[in-house]
Amino acid sequence: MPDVLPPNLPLAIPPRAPLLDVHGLKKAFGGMIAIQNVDLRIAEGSVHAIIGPNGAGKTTAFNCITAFVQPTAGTIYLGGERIDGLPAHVVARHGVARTYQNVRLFPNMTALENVLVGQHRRLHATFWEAILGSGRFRREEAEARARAHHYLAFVGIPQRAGDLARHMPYGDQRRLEIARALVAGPRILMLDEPAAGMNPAEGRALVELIERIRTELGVTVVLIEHHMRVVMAVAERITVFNRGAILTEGTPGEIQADERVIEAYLGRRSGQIAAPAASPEPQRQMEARIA
Amino acid sequence: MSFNAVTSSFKVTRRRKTPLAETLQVGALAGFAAIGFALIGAYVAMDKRHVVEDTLTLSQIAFALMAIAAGYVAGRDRQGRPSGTRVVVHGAVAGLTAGLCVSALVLLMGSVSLRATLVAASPMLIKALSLGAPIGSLQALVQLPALGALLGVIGGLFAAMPSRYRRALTYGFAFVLIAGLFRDVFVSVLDNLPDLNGPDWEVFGPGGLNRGSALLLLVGGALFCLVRDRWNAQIDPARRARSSKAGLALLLVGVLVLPLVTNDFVAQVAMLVALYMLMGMGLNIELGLAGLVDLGFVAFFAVGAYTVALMCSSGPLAVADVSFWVALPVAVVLAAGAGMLFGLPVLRVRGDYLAMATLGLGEIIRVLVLSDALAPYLGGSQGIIEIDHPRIFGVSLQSPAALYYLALALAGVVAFISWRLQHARIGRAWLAMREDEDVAQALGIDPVASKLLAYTIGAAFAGAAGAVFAALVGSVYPHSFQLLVSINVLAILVIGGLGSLPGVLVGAIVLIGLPELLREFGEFRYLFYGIALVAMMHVRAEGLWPATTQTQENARA
Ligand SMILES: Nc1ncnc2c1ncn2[C@@H]1O[C@H](COP(=O)(O)OP(=O)(O)OP(=O)(O)O)[C@@H](O)[C@H]1O
Ligand SMILES: [Mg+2]
Repeated sequence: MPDVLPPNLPLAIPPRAPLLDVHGLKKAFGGMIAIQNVDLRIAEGSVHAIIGPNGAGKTTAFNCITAFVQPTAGTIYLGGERIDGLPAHVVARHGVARTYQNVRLFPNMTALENVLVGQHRRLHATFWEAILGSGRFRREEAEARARAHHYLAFVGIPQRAGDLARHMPYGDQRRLEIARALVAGPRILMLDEPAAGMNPAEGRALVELIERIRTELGVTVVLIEHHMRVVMAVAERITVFNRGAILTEGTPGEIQADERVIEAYLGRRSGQIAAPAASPEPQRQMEARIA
Repeated sequence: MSFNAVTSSFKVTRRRKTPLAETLQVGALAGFAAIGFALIGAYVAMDKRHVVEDTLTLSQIAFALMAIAAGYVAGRDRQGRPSGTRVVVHGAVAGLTAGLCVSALVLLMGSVSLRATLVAASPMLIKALSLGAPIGSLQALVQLPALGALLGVIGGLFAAMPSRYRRALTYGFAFVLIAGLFRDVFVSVLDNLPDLNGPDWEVFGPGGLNRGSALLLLVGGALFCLVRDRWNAQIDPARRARSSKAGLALLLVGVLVLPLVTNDFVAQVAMLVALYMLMGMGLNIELGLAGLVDLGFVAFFAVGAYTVALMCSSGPLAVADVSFWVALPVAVVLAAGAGMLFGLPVLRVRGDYLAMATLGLGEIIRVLVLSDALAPYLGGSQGIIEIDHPRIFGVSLQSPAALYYLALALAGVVAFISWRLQHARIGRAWLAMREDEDVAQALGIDPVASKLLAYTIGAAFAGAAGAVFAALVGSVYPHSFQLLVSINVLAILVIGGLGSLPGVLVGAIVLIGLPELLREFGEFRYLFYGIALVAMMHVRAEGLWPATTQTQENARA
């Protein structure tokens, strides 16, 4: 924990220290402030959703946490260790794994190879051991392959192992991306709009998958999501982003009842709660206002 | 008129072009290609090579192929089923047009001397294009278009026949061409074989295949293709896999006995191929796996060569006089170190800029070696001479065959290492970096470390190649380490297939071995490189032996 408490940190220490503790996060792209004053506290073992209109800065917050971009200001702690300012691969080694809003697999590698790359930080055989084919190297490789197959089965695509990622259907690509993130054994899994482009049946399967990630693997999940059905079904807590700042935070019940949220987001998009394919018009207006 | 109106009217005229006009255009295109081929001197040079003794020379084949190709394109009916008349008439017209173009060239050369500007437009060319008819005679002028028309019809028929037979004929023709072109290699193999008391019948004449054997090969090749296609269609995959394994074993045996059954020249070419394979596998780590463009690759080759030169020379510049086997690991380590140093400044450079940066770094090494400051140590442009040959158990490895085995052994080791790394954590990390560097980093891959390792290992392999090169040639000069070497290695990878180990072998054979064996190609080598590269990009952009098929097979296994 930090020696000096940031000024507006609540003095009462919560019963369970959060796994991820983000404080005063700010990111400016040139003169455009994408997010500021973002505080996030994600409890260990929870499923935490982030919602908000398009362009609200949700993905930017993810990018700052995973060191995809360097935050302009703010601190980020994971399990009590400070991770902001570290390069992305070191942040990953602390146990942060993520998926991307527009799926980013290794397109010319097979599903199995994608998941094998995901195990990079779990494998330890040295360069020389690999060349000489030492016992440890072979054992590790065999284990890695077995684990890869296990995780492909876990996300529900065991039959895809030999397929090139770019030849896979979109829904399976999203699952593969989750498998690749999970296989490293992260402490926290950050999903950026995992249900995007899914039909209601796929959405329900995703809800079930997220439940199993939490209960069977014990991984904390943060997800950005527009599909309210998915959010309300899985999330214990919800943080609402609006115009680059946090509007409010609470349980699904509180959020659904919150006037401001309905005003900023739910009210305008109530169509989407019933039917995922809503008109994007309100979102564009939001974006225009921010930009 | 507005721009749009102009372009749309252009489109209309294009669409209205009659089939005959198209055919004439195709024929003229082939004719111009033939004229170009003749005027750069390729025709005369390749006319000396007889593919079929006293019957067909290489350049005649090239011309014939152009006419046949014209007939093929013209005879192909875009609308529907090819009709007999279309095939014959359009094929003939296209071939005739091509032939007329060449006749026009002959006529022109006969009346005006073009030699002042076009050196290749020599009397020799006129003589070669007269095909034995009296120079300047009517026969000499008429026979070309006539032949062209005939070949055009053949091309048209070729387009109209079922693809099965088309494949078979192509095979038969390829058999003849390969046997004829590599006559020397085959003859040396036949000479080394025990004399079977068969019929007194020579397969090869002094220049190429004999007519009888050419016909036999044509038919044999076609039958082979037909039978094989039949067989492949029926056989189950397991047996096919077994037969491809058997083919691989056969290839290995062939590679091992190559210098024993052929002559020194072939062994020397094979050793050059092995050397380029070594370098190719090095660049394959950098470019093929990690996706790092490197146009300064020859620098590592130079470091390896100069290390061995300095350590094994008995000349005045030697710093030590140790055995090659001591110098080789030193050369590899120094080259690897150079690779790492090389990697440092270009680490943060991505994409096209990387090509520029490495190009510059590679040139720096060559300029340094040439510089006056280092001349007292490295010999400047005089180079280093009197490098001792490697010895093994007191026997000096001097013959091309012995050096071939040395290079082959090293290539084997390097191929093994590459293969192991490719299927280990680091190899997968390289591939991931090539695909998406940011995502790879988010998965815990340290981009700096893995890039540096790629440069280091790639450089080590090139250093080994350089060491063998110095020991083979017995001397090193700066001019052996030009940009062209890097480009050759790059071309090998592109032709063979990026990231593919067998691709490196195929690429090295095609780009290094073939041009050496066909010395007529010598001066046109880069022309053929260019044509091959452009053709590859159109037909098989992924290379002759692409990498993805292997990874897919591996995942399935
Ligand atoms: N790399 C970047 N450079 C410049 N501006 C950026 C960059 N990344 C994001 N932005 C801007 O920051 C703002 C927040 O974008 P962000 O992607 O975080 O929104 P979001 O909440 O994830 O929206 P969505 O629901 O559409 O994914 C947007 O106005 C976007 O244009
Ligand atoms: Mg987003």
